[in-house]
Amino acid sequence: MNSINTRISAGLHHFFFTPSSGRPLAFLRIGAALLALLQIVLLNSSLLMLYGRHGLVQWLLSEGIISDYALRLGWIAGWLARWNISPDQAVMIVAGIYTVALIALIFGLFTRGAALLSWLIHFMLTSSGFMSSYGVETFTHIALFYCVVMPVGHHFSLDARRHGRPLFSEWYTLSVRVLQLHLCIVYMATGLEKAAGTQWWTGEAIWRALMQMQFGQFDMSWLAHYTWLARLICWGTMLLEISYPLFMFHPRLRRFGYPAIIMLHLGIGLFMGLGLFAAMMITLNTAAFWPFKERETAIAKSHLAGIH
Amino acid sequence: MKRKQWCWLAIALLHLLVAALSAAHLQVIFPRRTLLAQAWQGYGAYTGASNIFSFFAPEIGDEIAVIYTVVDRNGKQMAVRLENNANHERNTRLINIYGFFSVDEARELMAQSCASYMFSQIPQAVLIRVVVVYRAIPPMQDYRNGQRPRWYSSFSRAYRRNTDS
Repeated sequence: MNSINTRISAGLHHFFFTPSSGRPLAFLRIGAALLALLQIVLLNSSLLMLYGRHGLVQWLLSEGIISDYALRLGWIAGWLARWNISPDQAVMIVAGIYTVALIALIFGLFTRGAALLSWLIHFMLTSSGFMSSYGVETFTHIALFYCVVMPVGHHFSLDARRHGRPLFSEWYTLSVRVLQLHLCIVYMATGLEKAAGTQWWTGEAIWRALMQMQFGQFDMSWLAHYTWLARLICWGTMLLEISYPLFMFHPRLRRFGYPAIIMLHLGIGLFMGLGLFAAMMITLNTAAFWPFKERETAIAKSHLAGIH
Repeated sequence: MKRKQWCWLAIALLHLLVAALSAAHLQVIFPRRTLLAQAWQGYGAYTGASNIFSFFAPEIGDEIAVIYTVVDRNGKQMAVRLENNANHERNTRLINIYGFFSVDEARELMAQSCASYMFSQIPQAVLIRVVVVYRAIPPMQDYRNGQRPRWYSSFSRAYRRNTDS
């Protein structure tokens, strides 16, 4: 019994705590913050329409639906009102602070504080404007939360220049493992959700998606004459998503799995116009599974040395 | 493993458990309004662990759009669509908002809110009609047989500017 416990403990230690490079986490920080910044720049002229008190969905409606504990712009606006700052001005101030925090996060300046501020403001914006949110907000929120709790500022950051950080650490490995496992949950869940519908088995799903004016970047009506191709794309997507853990954790399969996932997201970006979403998913996958040389080397060395 | 490692591993696995159960629609295992359920929901909302990942699944419905017919004091009419902007990110979010018109309980409130916004943007408007339309895409086989996507109206409400205010 003791031997089994020791072996389980050693296995867990090897998987979660073998020291590795923190560069993937730096990639996560810079990539996620850059994309969040790009998003706020792209929406700059529409902020009040999407998030304003008297926007398309008024706070009275949107904030009346969200949970009591969710952060909301109405709280900040109410607090700022004592200085005669209007709700619209409050939204712009919050957006301005968010922008500054994201820039600090990109450069790794006061990384933890910048990540905390970015994460809270992003949550606030997506709570008050939850009706306008789509996948990119979901993953930006997850990425920013991980930037708060993970050691993402230890490489390629101004903080690291000032304080000096270890090149390898067991905490980097644990963080990357959490990200990897979270992505496994995401892809398996989305693949299984697709498999529950008939459109993904008949190929109609990709046809309907590409024929929608909101997504369609090209005339894809020719696809109706190649049903087998539509079916192949749908089946391939489901296979890749449901088998994601297998494709990404098996070293040999990852050589095909990682490029296939990147191609899937590039396809979504190119053919459906969801560029930011695609870029965010590519960032998360790359941070989690790109074979950063140092990580592999460190894991291999510790394995050879029998470190547990 | 050291105690510190065990602690952090347990926290990490608990976080992933919340993410996995939420993704599997298993939040309902806790009775609503209990402290545990609220803690679960709160934690999930703040950390992003409570998400359900049903992108384009299980089915893809008809495309939605909203047309605002604006009438000014002289009776001149114009049709406005907000989601026809060059900014794709903005359009995607607008269409997400419009998606809530498919929720019966939200429809009237959504129409009022959208009309109110349009009145604030177009000062000369005295009447705004909010028309929710869907674009039905035929199955591939029907498309091959000559059927084409068609728009159909689903909901419409007209609002007059309140001149008292």
